[in-house]
Amino acid sequence: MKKPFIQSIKDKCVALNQKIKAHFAAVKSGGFKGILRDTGKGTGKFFGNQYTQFILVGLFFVVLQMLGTAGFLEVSLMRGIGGLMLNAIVALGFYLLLGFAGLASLGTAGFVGLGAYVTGYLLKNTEIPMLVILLICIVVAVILGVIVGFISLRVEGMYLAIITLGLSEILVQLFVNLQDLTGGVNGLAILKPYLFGIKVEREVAFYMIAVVFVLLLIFSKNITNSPTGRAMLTMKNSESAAQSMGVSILRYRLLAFVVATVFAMIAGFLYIIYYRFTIPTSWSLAFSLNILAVVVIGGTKSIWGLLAGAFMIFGLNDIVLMNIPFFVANPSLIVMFNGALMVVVVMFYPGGLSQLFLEIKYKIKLRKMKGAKAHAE
Amino acid sequence: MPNKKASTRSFACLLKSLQKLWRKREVTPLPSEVILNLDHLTMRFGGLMAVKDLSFSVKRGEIFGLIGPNGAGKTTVFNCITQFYKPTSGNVFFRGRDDKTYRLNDEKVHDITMHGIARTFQNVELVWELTVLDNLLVASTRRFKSGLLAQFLHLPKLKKEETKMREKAEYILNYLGLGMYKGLSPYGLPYGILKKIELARTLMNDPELIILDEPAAGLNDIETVELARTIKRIRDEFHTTVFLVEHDMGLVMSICDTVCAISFGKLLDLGTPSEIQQNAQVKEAYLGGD
Amino acid sequence: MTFEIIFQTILNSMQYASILALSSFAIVLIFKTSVTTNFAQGTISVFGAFVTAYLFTLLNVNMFWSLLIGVVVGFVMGWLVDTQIFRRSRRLTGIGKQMITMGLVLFLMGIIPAIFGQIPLNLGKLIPGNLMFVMFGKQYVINYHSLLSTGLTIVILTILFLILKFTKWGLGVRATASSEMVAGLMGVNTHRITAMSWAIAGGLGTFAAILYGATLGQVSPAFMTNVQVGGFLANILGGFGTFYGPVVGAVLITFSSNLVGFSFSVWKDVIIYGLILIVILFLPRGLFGKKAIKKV
Repeated sequence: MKKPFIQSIKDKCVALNQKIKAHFAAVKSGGFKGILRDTGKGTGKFFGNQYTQFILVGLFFVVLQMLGTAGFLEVSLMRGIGGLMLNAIVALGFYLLLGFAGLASLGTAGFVGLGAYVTGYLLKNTEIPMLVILLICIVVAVILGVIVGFISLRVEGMYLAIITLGLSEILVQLFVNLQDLTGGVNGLAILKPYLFGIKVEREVAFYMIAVVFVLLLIFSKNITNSPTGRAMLTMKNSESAAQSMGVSILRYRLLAFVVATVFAMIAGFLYIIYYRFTIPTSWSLAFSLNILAVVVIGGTKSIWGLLAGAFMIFGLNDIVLMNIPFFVANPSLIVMFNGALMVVVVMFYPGGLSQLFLEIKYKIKLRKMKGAKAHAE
Repeated sequence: MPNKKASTRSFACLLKSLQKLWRKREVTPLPSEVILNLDHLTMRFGGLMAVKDLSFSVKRGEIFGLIGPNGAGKTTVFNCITQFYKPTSGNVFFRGRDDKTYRLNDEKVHDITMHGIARTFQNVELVWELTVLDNLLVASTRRFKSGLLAQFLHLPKLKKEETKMREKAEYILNYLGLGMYKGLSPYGLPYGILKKIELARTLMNDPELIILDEPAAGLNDIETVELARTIKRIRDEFHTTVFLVEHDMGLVMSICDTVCAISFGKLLDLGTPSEIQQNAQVKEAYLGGD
Repeated sequence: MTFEIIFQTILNSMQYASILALSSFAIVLIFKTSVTTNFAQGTISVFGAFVTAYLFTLLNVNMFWSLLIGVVVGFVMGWLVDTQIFRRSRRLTGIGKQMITMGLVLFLMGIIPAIFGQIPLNLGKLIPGNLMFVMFGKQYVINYHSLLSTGLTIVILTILFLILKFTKWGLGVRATASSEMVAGLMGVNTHRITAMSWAIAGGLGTFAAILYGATLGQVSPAFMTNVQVGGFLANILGGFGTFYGPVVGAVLITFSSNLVGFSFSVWKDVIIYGLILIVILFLPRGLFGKKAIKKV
C-alpha cells in the first residue's frame, strides 16, 4: 500500500514543478500583462482586467468632464459625478472596515467633515501648500484611527457603533461651536486654491478627484487580495482562529480603522477643494447612514457591487432623479425611496448587489466551462 | 472583573511586566528530547479549580494523547498551552526550533505560532468567505515579509511570495487528498473534509508541535481510522510532534506513544497506552471507555 | 452650586428625563427580545406624534383621543415592523435588522411630509400653566405638563416592570431576552413576544414624542433625533444587559447634562459624551452590565 502512495506524491510534485515552470515561462513571455494575468491562478481572478477596468472608469469620467467644460453636457451632471466619486471613496474605506474587519463604526460623517474643515481652514488662513495639507490630513486620520481602534478593543459591537456615532455628533458640535475656526452655522467658504501654481478650477478639482478615486480603488482591490485582507477576514470570522495563526487582533483592528479614517479624511480634503464650501449640517447622521446603506446595498463581496451601491444611493439622486420634476417638487420622496430600497434589499437580497454580480460572473463561468466541456467531447 | 481604579490597575501591570522581564532570564533549558513540558500547571476560574498541579513532558517526535472524562479539564489544559488562558500558576515550557527553551506563559496568543506550534479547533474555524487555499494561506500571514506598502501596491515582491505560498498550500492540500477543493469555499463541504482542511492548515508553517483538539469528534469509525493513519503519516513524514486531546479511546490507543489521563483537573496516570488501559483508577474514572 | 440650583435643575430635568427614560426602555426592550438596535425608535414615534398633532391641531379632536389614537398608531407600526418586515425577510442577521431600521428612518422621514402635508405641525400641552411653590424658603417653578409627564412615565414604567417581573408574559420576555432559541424550545411563543415588544416600544415612543412635542410646541420630522441618540447613549451608559439600566442611564444623563449645561452650556454635550466614554472604557458593559465569558 505504501509504495504507490509515495509514488503518487512524487508524481504530483513533478506535475507541480512542471506547472511552476510553465507559469514562469508565461510570465517571461507575456511581459507586464503576462504577470498580471498569471498571478490570479490561485483564486481564479484576473488582476489585469480589474486594474484596466478601474482606469477605464476613471478615464470615462474625465472625458465626461471635458465634454462638460466644452459645453456639451450639463454642469449638474458633472457635479453629480464628482459627488458620486467622493461618496464612493468614503464608502470604500467603510467597506474595508465593515466587510473585512467586521467592525461597525458610524463615525464616518464626522471624519469626512473634519477633513473638509481642516483642509478649508488651512487653505484659507495659511500658506501651506495643498499637498502638505493632504499629508497633515492623513497624519490626523492615522492618529484618530488609532484612537478609535484602541477604543474598539475595549468596547464591542453595538456599543462601539453607538460610541462612534456619538463621536461623529461631537465633531459636528465642534464644527458649530468653534465659530472662529469654522464659521459656525454659516459654514466655511474658501477661494480657489492653488496646486503647483495652477489655480484649481472646478474641472481641475474633478480630475484630481478622478485620479485619487482610481488610485484608491486599486489600493482597495490590492488589499483585499493580500495577506492583510485575508487576515482581516479571518479576524472577522473567528478571533480565536486568527490569533492561533499569528494574527494580532490589535494590529489588524488598528489598521482597519486607520485605513477607513484615512479614506474618509482624504474624501473630506477633496470635498472642500471641489465645492469650496461646507456647512456643519452636511455631516450629520444621515450621511453616515447613507454610507452604511451603500455598503449594505452594494454588498461586501465585490468592489463593483459597492460602486453600484454608491450609484444607487448617491448617483441616482443627484444624476437621475434630480431631473425628474416629480422628485424635484417632493425631495423628501427621494429620501423615502432610498429608505424603501434599503429595506427591500436587506429583506430579499442580503448579499447586496455584489452578490448579484458574483452570481452573474459565476453563471458566465459555468457556461464557459460547459462550452469547453462540450467542445472537448 | 471588579472595578479596580485605573491607577492601581496600571501599577499592577507595571509590577507584572517587571516580573515577566525577570522571569525571562531564568528559564532552565529543557532536555533535548523533550519538546513541551507542563510544570505544576494550575488554572483557576474564580472559585473553580479546573486544572490542579498538572505536570508532564512530551517527547520530541512522539504522539501524545491527553484523555479524561467530560469536564476533566482537557480543553482547559489545551487552552493554557496555547495561551488562550493564562495559567493561574505553573509554567508551560517549550523547546523551539532554535533549541532554546521558552516559557510560553510570557508570550501573547498570536506569537505562539512563531515558535512552531499550530492548533486545530473543536468547532471547525474556517473562513467561509475565502477559498480553501486562501484559508491555508492565512496560517502563513506572519511569514510574508512584504510590508504594507508592498501589499497596497501589489509589488512584485509580494507576488513572488504569494506564488510561493500558494504552491506550498497546494502541495499540502494534494498531500492530504484535498486538491480538488482548493478553489472552493469551505461552505457546505462534508464535516470530515473540513476537519482535514484544518489539519492541512496546521502544516503550513512547518510546525514543530501540532496540537489537535478532539480531532475525532463527529467522525464515524471509518473516518476515525483514516484520521489515525493520517496523523501517523504526518508525524513520520513532516517530523513533527503531535499532542492530541481526545475522547475516542480507539484513536488514542492505536496511535499514541504516550497517554496522560486526567480527571477533575488532576493527573491520574501517565504511560504507554497499554499501561493506562490496565490502570484501575483510569477505568473507574472513564466508565464506559474502551 | 447651591441646593437651590440643584433642586431647580432636577425639576427642569424631569420632563426630558421622562421622555428619554421611555425611549431608552423601548430601545432596550427591542434589543433584548429581537437583538436589534432600533435606529427607527425616534422616527416611528415621530410618525405617531404627527398623527396626534394632525388630529389635535387640524381636525380639532380632543387631546385625550388624539393622544390615544396616536399611541395606538405607534403601537401598530411597531407591530407591523416586526411581523411584516422582519418575519418576511430572508436570512436576517443582526446587522441586517439594524440596516432595516435605518432604512425605515429614511423611509418614514421621507413619507411624513408627503402624508401630513404641512410641517411642522403644532401641538399643545396636556395641561397648560406652571406650578410655583416654595420650599425651605426658596421659590421653585415647574410646569404642570412636566409634572403630569413625569407622573405618567413613572406609572407606566412601574407597571411595565411589574409585568416583566410577575406575569407569565413578562417571564416569556425575559426568557426570550436571554436566548430566543432556547425560549422557543421551552414553549414560549417567541414570535408573539417580539411582536408585542415592538408594539409596546412603538407605543411608548409615540407617547414620549407627544409629550416632548407638546413641550416644544410643535412636531417636525427630525425632532426626536436627539432623543434617539440620547436613548442610545443611555443604553450604553446603563448597559444593554438589564431593563432598568437604560432607564437609570437616561435619568443620569439628563440630570448631569443640565447641571453641566449650567456652567458650560456650549460644551455640555461634548463633556457628557466624554464622561460616558470614560465610564465605558472602565466598564465596557455599562454601569449595570453583565459580563459574558467566552468559551474557546
